[in-house]
Amino acid sequence: MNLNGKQVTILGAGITGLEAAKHLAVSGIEVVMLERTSQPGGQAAALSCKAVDGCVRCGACMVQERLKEIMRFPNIRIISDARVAQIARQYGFTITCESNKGVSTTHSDAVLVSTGFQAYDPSAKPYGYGYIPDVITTLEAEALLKRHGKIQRPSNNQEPKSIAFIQCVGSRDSRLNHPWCSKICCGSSLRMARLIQHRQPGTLATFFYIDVQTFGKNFQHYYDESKNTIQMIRAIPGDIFKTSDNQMLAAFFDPQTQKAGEAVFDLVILAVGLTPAKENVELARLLDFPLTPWGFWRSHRDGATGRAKGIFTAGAALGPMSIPECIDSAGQAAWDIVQFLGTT
Amino acid sequence: MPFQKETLILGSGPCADQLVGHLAAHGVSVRQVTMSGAAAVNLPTISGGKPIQRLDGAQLVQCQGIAGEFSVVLDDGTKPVRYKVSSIVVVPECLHVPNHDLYGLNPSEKVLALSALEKMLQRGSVQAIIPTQARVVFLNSWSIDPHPVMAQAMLQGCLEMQQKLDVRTFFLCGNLKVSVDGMEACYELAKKAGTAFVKFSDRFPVLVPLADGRIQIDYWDETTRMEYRLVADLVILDEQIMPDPRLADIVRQLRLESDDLGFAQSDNVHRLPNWTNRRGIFVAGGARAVLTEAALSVDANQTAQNVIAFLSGLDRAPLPKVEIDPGRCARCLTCYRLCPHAAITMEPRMIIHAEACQSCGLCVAACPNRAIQLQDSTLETAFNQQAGQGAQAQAQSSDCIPRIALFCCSRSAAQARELAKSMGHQLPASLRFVEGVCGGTFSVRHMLTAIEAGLDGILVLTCHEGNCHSGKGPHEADKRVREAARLLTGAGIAPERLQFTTLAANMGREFAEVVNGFEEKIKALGPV
Ligand code: SF4
Ligand code: SF4
Ligand code: SF4
Ligand code: SF4
Repeated sequence: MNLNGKQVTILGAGITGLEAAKHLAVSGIEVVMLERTSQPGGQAAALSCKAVDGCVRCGACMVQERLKEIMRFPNIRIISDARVAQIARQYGFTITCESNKGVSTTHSDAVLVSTGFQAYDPSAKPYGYGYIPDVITTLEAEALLKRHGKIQRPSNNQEPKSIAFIQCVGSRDSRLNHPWCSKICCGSSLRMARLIQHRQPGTLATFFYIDVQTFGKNFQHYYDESKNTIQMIRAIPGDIFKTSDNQMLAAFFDPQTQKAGEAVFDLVILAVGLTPAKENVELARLLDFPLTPWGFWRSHRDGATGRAKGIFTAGAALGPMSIPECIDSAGQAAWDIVQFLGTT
Repeated sequence: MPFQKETLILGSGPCADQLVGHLAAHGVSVRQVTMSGAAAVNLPTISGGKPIQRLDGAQLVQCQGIAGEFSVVLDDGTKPVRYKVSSIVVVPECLHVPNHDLYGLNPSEKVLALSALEKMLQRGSVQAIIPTQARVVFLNSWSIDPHPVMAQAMLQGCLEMQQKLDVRTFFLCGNLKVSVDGMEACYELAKKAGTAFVKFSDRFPVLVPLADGRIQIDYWDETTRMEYRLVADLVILDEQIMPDPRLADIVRQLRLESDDLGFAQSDNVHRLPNWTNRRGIFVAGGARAVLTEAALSVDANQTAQNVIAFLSGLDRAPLPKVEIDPGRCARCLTCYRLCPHAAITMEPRMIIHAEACQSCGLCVAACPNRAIQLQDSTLETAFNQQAGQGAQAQAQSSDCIPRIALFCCSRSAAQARELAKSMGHQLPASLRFVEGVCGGTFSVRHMLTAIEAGLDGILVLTCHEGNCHSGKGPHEADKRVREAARLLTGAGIAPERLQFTTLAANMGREFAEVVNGFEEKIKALGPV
């Protein structure tokens, strides 16, 4: 189908936006990507490679691949540091956006929302996050790995001898009205634990969980291997306190002994869940597009959107998704956009 | 329209049929081989599209040729027929095998596999086989982990029974898999509706069939730390979802990579979503993974898109040309066996087909007669330049800055280098940088010539094992570095001057660390 001359604006240049851009560019569509941060790549670009003896299929390096791939398309343009200020709808969409290069206006026949997610802020949880320096999130652990290649305790820059990984922080939580599994955190925490044990041999890793979720195609093999070096405790700690010798005391109910258990750790890593981005509300208002009760974007295929003409949604903006799922979701949206533009 | 020739679809089922409909609607001629043997599926109705040729129950018995010009032989049991097709999509359905063996339970009216239950629920015939207030127990694996797609189906079946019928449901599992859209909410609903969830970590239940056919389940509950006995009026078993066993033969005929589980796509993120090691051959749906119903539909759409991109020639960027010099070729078949993309044919001269070749250079480096040329001007120029500079530097100075060459794969190390620079990492000043499409481009000769030309050390950097576009790049590069190091040792040169390391494209910091570490090592060794 020749769609030369058609224009699509993609909001968000993460893995989903990049994959969709590639598909659309192949159809000859002019693509403008508006990226809120200073660089395309999205949150997956902040993840470190978890390979130990070989690739462990986390998918993070797919971002670099997609970034390289879209360079061959002259019909893809990326505007960074962009903020959508206004959207006028008349014969398509006229989007006014502010960036550090000034105010620009783009016209497009369709819009793809691929704005991704926001990590849960665990300050409200009883884990001391925010005031105990050695309680950090998986994202902060990723940043440490990116910067130092190793994990250090923020309080004293020493390498921790024992680390607690606490799962489902902000996910699968009916009290928060978060009735979803974030899908990716079991995999990223286990891979991270094994990377740390590989780079910092002797590190004790304890994994507090409700249910371990499947990740990757050969999960069983990876999981069985992980259980050899990682202590698995099927409980979620109720509280975390700092001890007088600068360690973290986790109190939990041990299902094995049926008693309240306690254990001390040098570092606690909270597997924070995927939640709706706070910008969704404003953007949805500008687009006049309904969100789910939790604040995620609805799929453009969802009847409740009234099939709003020309607005498409994909990726973790719709709810928790792994990187491979984001790729699929982007493919779906691009296909739907091409069908839509082919008939308008 | 550029789509003159046919696309062959191997498989049937919802994903295949949706894909066939899309391709036909976009003007692609489609020949679909259903793998079931029976015409169980309805033909999609297309208005104004291309006609769809269908062959029921045929087998692929041969495939020759390359992207755009495959020649396949299909045999439907009457006589084998040859067809020309431009692309092939492998898209069979997965197989569901009830876990009777796993639980040691025989099938009976009181022990049903999930698919059987689903059919009865549809027909509304479950009530007839259970008493009122029946105890219905769903078994969703504890000693091995079930696939989330199976857990989803089990959970949905359980919720439906609990909500609609006069039963009491129990859901027994190890890890409850809720990483499918909406499943945590479904789990919450089932709990509210009255389903009892019992999860096991290391002490597993004992299942005993009673004389009346019911199943007695003795288990230890982790949360109450108590023994329980439950007699089930109906047990629902989960199923293993497996790749169609016939895929193995298709994989062999099409010379595809496969994964440890038997799917026709290697477990390599760069093959996602539908790509294979061979251009023009795609995998979708049950050929590549276990997917949810929703994901199967998504996959049909994106595969259609990827096939159309290929048919319009827009699926990839232009690549440097690779050619065999017939005058030098001894037909040893080294290249034919090595090529991960099956781009070389014997007809009877050895020919590399540009349409299928990915310019990885693996064959170039491996040909014992140096009969294959890769017209990658950047690689050759860089290589000659680096070697030349090395020689000059040697003639000129005796400084203590080691002369180091990096042989980098363009997809991993070269990008990691850019990242390292953008992150502000310091790199040694005297680096010579040689980039090849794949790390498999670099030959033993390249390494030895560089050392001969006066370089003090060579670092070969490729993707991690399992992350290489050419599949074999890291393995081959590692092998060649060892071989070159062995030859150096023979010549009295320290083998440590050659090093092989793997990196991913996102490892900027590690790139700097590895390179700086290597420089230190070479510094300590001094000049050759
Ligand atoms: S997929 Fe993940 S583990 Fe594998 S190479 Fe890429 S970043 Fe590393
Ligand atoms: S993936 Fe694991 S840690 Fe994340 S929400 Fe799901 S169960 Fe919890
Ligand atoms: S490896 Fe070289 S000599 Fe052997 S068949 Fe290929 S081109 Fe000919
Ligand atoms: S360069 Fe690579 S893809 Fe091309 S023929 Fe040689 S081995 Fe095959």
